[in-house]
Amino acid sequence: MTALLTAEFRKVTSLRYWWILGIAPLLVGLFCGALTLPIARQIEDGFGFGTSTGFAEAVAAAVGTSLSLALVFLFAAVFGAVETGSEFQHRTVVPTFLTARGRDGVIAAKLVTAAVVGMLYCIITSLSSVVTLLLFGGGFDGEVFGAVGTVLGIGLVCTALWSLIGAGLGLLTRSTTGSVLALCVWVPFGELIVSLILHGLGLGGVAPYLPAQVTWYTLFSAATSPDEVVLEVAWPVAPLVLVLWTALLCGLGWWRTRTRDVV
Amino acid sequence: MTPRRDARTVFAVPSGPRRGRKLSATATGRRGATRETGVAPVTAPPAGTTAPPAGIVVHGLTKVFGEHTAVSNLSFSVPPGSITGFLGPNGSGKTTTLGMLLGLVRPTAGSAFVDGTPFAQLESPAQVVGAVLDANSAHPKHTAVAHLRVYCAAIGVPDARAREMLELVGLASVGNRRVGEFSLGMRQRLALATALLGRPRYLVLDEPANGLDPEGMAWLRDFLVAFARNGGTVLISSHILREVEQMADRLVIIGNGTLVAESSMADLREAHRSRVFVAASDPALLATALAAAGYTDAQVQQDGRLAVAGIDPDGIAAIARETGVPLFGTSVEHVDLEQVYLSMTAGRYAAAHHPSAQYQQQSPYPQQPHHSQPQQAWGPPPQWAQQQQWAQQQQWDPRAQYGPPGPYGPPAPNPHPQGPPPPNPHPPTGPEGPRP
Repeated sequence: MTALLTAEFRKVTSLRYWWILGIAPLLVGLFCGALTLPIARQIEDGFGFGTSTGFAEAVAAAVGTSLSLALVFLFAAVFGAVETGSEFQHRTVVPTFLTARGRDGVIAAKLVTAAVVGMLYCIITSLSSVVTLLLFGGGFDGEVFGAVGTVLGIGLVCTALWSLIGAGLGLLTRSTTGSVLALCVWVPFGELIVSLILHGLGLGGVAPYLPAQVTWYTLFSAATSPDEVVLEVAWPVAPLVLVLWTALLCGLGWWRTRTRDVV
Repeated sequence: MTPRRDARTVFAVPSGPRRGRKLSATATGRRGATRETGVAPVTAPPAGTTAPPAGIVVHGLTKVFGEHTAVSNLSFSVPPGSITGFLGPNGSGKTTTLGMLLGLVRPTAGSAFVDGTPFAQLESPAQVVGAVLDANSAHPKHTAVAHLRVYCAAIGVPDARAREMLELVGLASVGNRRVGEFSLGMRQRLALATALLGRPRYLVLDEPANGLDPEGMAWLRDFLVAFARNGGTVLISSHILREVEQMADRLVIIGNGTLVAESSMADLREAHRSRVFVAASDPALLATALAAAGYTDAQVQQDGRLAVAGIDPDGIAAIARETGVPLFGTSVEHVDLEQVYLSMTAGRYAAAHHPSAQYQQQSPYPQQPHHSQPQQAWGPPPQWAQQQQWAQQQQWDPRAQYGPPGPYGPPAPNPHPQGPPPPNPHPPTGPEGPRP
């Protein structure tokens, strides 16, 4: 397994796409803190909250972290889809299977690689986001810092799951373009449209269980929220549903790759 | 793109218990070097056997895609130490068969074994079988070295092997170039280097000559022969017999997914020997004299000539002189194995390659490889009259598209379509035309 993991990491690191895909969330992580903190400070001053409340820091942390995490999820999934789909697109899957004993080890190595690189995106982006907030004068108190840390920790797990969702989709469709297109349409727009349709059909209760929404419920349920806020999908159902989505797509991709003819 | 190392000196198939039997020892093994070792040929299916048979054994492989049967109950074996040509027309099921052998395609029925073990169950498959199924199976953005290092890691061999194999296949100077910049021939070499990373004892190659220039072809031929002489076994597919004729010592020929022939090259040549056509005053008497001299394969043709196998024209002339039978002329029919192969596999695609009637008139040799009723082979296909009629209606001369006919088979492309046809490379040897 170590040999296959090494091979997969070499495949990834000898190309550029893995770090190119990480640039977008990194930039958002860097600039969200830099932009949202001054704006939040102005709002704080305008409403006369006073600087001791930590309102600006909390808002900047929430907005910056949310935006950067949203992009991290998307790009981690895209990475996973490219990593697995390109094997079929460029037909490197043939020598890959010919040099490994069985297909299961190869698939497992691919999924692990996708998850690790996705988590790397999350760690770097989150760190850069926090550092930027601190550099621009955000003085987190212990409570805010703890909340941000919790969200980032949960975000790390969600990123790994989204990487696996993308990788599973790539294995299932065997198409880089199709998988990336599906993800880029689904995450920002597609799921929203499907939610609206479900509401229109009277199945609105299903919508919160769709993968992108349940990801946010997972994050929100981990963070401290006011008592009056009631989440439609709370802990631990939210992360479990996300895990189920991941297992479904990875399982289908695994099954198809394991059983379908390659030549 | 000349290789810098000689394959014979660089590549040696490891021996020892893990590597199985060194060199084979079948009656159809590698030329000259293996007959005395006494290992039994691998022919029996592995079911029920106690000791796993060495070599590659394909037993009853069948693959059905929907309603299309790509491979049907195909069985053959590749003895260790041999170079086996796996021949068949395009679409005959070669790649599917190799895919099933290598665990890439799930067979509908049957099984395939390498040294008695299915490929998918081999402990270190790349160190047993190196395979090239597709030249374009490298990421175009990878450099050649990076591509090979990926598989070095997967196989568990040192990274230095990557450079070593690049040097072996003649790509050392372009190791840091991206694969996307490579020609098809260079990709073929890279694919071969990938297959060789594990220093396997079997090589399975699917149409490796595609994209190779003549120099590359010659290099590949030398390389594979050296590989086999070092104890390796090669199964090489092609749709052109001439590509493998010079190196293969066994042939497995398939057509429409079924086995057409499995034989050694020597047996095939023996079964399709050249004949001498003799125009004699008394063919029956000459045949009797030849039989008395031990040459019993003599047949009187419909035109009265005698077709004799196993003796050259001078020998016939000598016997005729002794017998007192005057000869009017002799002509030698050289049986082209390519034509033999084509006749074996002629099937659903044959109609698209029929030569024109004129070429059939010009063709100096009969096309029946089995030497029976040669006239039948000269008749145009049923569709040909309609094709000619259509060509006249379109004022299109199909002959302009082609060069002169080869001695057998369809005409080769004409490099000078408007010019006169080149001279016949195989002129008749006797005073009269060779056509029986």
